[in-house]
Amino acid sequence: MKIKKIGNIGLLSVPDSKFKNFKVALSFATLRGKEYATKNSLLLKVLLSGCEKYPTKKDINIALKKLYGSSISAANVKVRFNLCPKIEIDALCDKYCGENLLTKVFELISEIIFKPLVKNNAFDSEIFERERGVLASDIAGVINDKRQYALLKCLEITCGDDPYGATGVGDLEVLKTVSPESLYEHYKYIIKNTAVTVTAVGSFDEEALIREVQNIQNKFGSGKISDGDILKASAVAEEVKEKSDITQGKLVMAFTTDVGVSGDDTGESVLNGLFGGGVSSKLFNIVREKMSLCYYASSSYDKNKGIILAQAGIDFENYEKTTKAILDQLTDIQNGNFTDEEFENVKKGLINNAVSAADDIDLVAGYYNGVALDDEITTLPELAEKYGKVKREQIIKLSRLIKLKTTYFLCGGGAGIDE
Amino acid sequence: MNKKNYDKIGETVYTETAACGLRTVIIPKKGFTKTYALLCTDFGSIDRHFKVSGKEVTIPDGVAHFLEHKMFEQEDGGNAFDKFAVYGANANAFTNFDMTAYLFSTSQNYEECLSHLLSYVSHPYYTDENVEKEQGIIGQEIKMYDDSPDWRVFFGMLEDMYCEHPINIDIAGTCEEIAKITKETLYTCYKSYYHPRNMLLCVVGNADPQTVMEIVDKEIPETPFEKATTILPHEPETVSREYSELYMDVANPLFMIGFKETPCEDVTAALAKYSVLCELVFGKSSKLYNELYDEGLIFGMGADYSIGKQYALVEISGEGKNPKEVYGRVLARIKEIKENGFDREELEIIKRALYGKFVKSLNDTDAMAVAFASDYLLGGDYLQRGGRILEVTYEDIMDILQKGLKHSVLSAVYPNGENK
Repeated sequence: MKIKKIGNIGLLSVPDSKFKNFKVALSFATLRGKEYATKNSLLLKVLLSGCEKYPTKKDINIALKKLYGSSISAANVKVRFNLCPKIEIDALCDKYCGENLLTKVFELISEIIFKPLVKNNAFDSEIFERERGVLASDIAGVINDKRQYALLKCLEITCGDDPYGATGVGDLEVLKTVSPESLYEHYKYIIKNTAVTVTAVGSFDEEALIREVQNIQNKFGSGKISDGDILKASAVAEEVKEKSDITQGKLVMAFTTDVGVSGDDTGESVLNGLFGGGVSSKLFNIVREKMSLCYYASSSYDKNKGIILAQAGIDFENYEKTTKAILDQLTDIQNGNFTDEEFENVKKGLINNAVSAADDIDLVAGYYNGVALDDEITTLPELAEKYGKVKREQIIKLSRLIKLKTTYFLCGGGAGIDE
Repeated sequence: MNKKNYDKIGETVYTETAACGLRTVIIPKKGFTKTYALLCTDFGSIDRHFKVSGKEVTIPDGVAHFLEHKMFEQEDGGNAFDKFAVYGANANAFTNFDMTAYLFSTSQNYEECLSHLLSYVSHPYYTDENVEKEQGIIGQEIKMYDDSPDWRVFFGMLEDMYCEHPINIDIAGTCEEIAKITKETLYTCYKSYYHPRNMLLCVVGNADPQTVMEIVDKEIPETPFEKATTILPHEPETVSREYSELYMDVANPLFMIGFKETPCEDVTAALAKYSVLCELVFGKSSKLYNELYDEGLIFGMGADYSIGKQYALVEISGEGKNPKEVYGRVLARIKEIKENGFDREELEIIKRALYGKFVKSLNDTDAMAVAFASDYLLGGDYLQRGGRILEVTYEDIMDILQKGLKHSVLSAVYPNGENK
């Protein structure tokens, strides 16, 4: 499947009339890094705080409620090597409300995006300051969820100078330097100099969607989709320990893969499934169930950078034992110590996830938003098919290219996170 | 088999009680490949004191959840997950205050998966060794929640609100309490609460009602049933304490405000009315929310209503610099609306919005099954929620404001070092 071009807009449309609603998202491909993350996040907050027609957050909320409880959400999503500020609206299909909400949704999005509250080339200062405060709280609040914090921190350390390691939320130091004027400049850059994608999923009329996209296409400029490379392995793995006021240690281990060798990374996904991807994995069955070391022990695969992050919540004194146990599971895979049945079960699980995802509108939207910048888009059924073709030998070969890059441990004994 | 059409929202529900006594609900979804099945028992964390065969039994905290973990243990040394993996299905389980649920979701082999679900939940296998092994895993689960400020502030609120009702006890218990659990405790609870007559099967998605019933009949035989009766202590109308605080490694204060409400018989009506009230008084388009947000007192806030076995509450959660100030403003706003009323047009807008949100929720097989089962066990009907929301009147809301929202608490988590 290929993305459709309507003027400067890339349109990815996946209609499915079994759903009772539809979701439309507009996203803009910016570069990565702290500066873009911060400005994108703040811009999204300011745009959703008011526009000429709906000058306050309350007005926007009432407008949404009048559209049968449509909701609007904003996020800075990592797509390939880009950071994409995304505004997404979720609305009921006409069958259940007797109104065609697609046109009204586009009217509302257009008001918000094209007619923000701007005076003298700057955003409204009162809204700007308030939203800057809220974003500062979001950024600082990353420490509240220690498991998530440990993952983000490990990724940041693993990426080093690579801007991929920056969180999508933003950075407090950068936030201090942003002004209503510079944010407005950033807004103009987003509208005029980035690649714009519209994704639509769910129950809607495709022709009507194309008409709506045509109506707004001349308002956007164009931009390049940035490219990058996967993360390279290090000669020596780094070990970082941080203290915090917690009762359970949060262990994260980052591994590099070598996606470049195989091109297609379906094999890495299956490998991750076998390593720690679910209840059929070695981390779950050995580290949790057999060794009773933890409640959660899992791994996730970040295809953009070819990184596998393994994580577990453990007693502080079990640090050595658990890191060793996690590495042992990888060694086992490298040595081919897994049965054909275990391997097939992992594949079946991934196939089931891909097929079942098509019945969940949020997963459909999330998946297609994540692949919208690919030259050739793999559909969910195609993804399921690809999983089915992965071979056992391929997994063993790929697993031998995996290298530990970082071990991060958030442990106890601190009154707050050491910075 | 009973068939009920809900034309306006495009759903059909089939219900039947199987010969073994298992109440079975099937909601087929056209165009869906996925099947989601939920087998739940009317046994949750608050069922910790009960009467069975003329004897009163008190169990340690966290048994329902512990039993849920142990249900996966198989006599052959394997794990119930293994067979689901062979069928290519995802499986899981959860325990809340009122129920324990076992589930799978799959896009293939749903009949085999359903047989397996019914079979493994019918065959408990507890040993001293496997009970001890689980204490380590659940101990870590408890510690994980101990580090979650959201969980701590939530239980802070429940402890403030409830004097005697066991809703004030963590679902997983404590490390000390779960250390008291033995295989005998688990078998006693299993026999008392895991009879098909005390359970409900809810299947949503790709499923044929007749086939589902045939599988139930094949897998679960008829057996005698002696009902256990949960004994809940008398709970006063008033709260235990109005305020509690604790300190954690968080960036900004988190808070939860709770209102202790009287549980009512008509669960569907209560859920409809209170959802409208929460949105109207505390929601994102409300006067209160926007004033607090504009003044920088909150960074975000949400309100919800829960109802269960002899409890009902409104909870407002948020993040902001000054929880006590927010609490005062919440109480003041309720008083103001009680005295002066509110805009009728706003009520209509909110009802329409909540109706839309309800219809959208029917896309999600998993959430729909859980919501349907939860309401069903309390005597409600989730699929009527949307219609009931549209029926809520100005007087309904004023009635709640006049009679309810009287006993409130504030629970806060402050950053370490602040205010100390």
